[in-house]
Amino acid sequence: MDNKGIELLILAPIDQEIIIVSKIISNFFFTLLSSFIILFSSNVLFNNNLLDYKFIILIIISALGFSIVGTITSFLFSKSRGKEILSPLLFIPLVSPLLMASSSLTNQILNNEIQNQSWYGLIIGYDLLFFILGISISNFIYKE
Amino acid sequence: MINKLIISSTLIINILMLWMIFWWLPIDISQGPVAKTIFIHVPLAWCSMIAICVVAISSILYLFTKKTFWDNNAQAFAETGLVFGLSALITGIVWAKPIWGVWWTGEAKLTTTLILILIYCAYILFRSLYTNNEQMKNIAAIIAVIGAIDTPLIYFAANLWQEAHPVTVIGPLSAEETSFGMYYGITLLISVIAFTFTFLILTTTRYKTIKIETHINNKE
Repeated sequence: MDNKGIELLILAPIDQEIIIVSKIISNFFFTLLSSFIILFSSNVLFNNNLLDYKFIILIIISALGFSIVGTITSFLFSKSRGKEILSPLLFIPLVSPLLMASSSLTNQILNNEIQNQSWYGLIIGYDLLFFILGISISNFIYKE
Repeated sequence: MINKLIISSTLIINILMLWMIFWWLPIDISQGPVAKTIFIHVPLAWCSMIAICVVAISSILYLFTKKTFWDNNAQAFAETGLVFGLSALITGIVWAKPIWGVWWTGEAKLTTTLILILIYCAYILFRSLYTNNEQMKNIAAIIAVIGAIDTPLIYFAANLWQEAHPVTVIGPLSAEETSFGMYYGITLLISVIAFTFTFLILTTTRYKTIKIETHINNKE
């Protein structure tokens, strides 16, 4: 149910960067929590040993990227009509480099050989770029 | 007067281009008649790339200056750019089937174009769905800037992806094919000029209608 929470947050006497950063942090922790639950169940059910430091780093950085882009897109469309259609339409193309990188690295870690370290660089660069972008555009979004 | 001159010269260049493609130019030995798709596919992709750059620059300028001109400009270029980009993708698919043997591969340029088209679909859909005018323009400009920034990243990722899963690339992207002869070079140049002029005329017409729409909306 829409209880206009975002409008109340915008009305509060704080900068919009703070709203975006706090939403990113909370989304990041929820995504990370669900990732670790899935990782644990995958280890138990499929008998994989994915509790490797390489895989945990991958989960942390890709969950961060997902939450940053997800927060930015949902914040952009939070007051528009048809946000249920618009958010995924923008979110999926935007996270596609992240999806490519994380699925490719997962595959390489499962096969026990990392052929290309630059995927990690791509994910970290992506996270940093969108974090800076999110902070710098936050003041333009609801300037009234 | 100048407008009529530009339109008539564009028409003449287009007729010249069609004559060159279908009568003047010999049929390619390796690919056959299907190789002539290059004279439609490359100019369409070129025009969509111009559109994307102009939309990004106009959106940044709109965010800083708040002049309606830049916003209308971005909208006009985004709409025609989307049509040209989609046509480039479709002609690319038509070309890929006989040459690569598949309609679609995970190749870098294809993925980047598709994703960029999706981002611009979101941009145009958002403009038509949002109600508040001033905020809509701001957010639309932000979407355009994000789309333009994300593009090089997607290209880089898709290139890396291709390294991990190599695909056999025969045809337009191989080194041999780019070194085609003088006839093909001249025809490609003429077709790029013809399509660029057509694209600019369409965009200017769209810009004028958007301007009229904005004027009517402001009066209401």
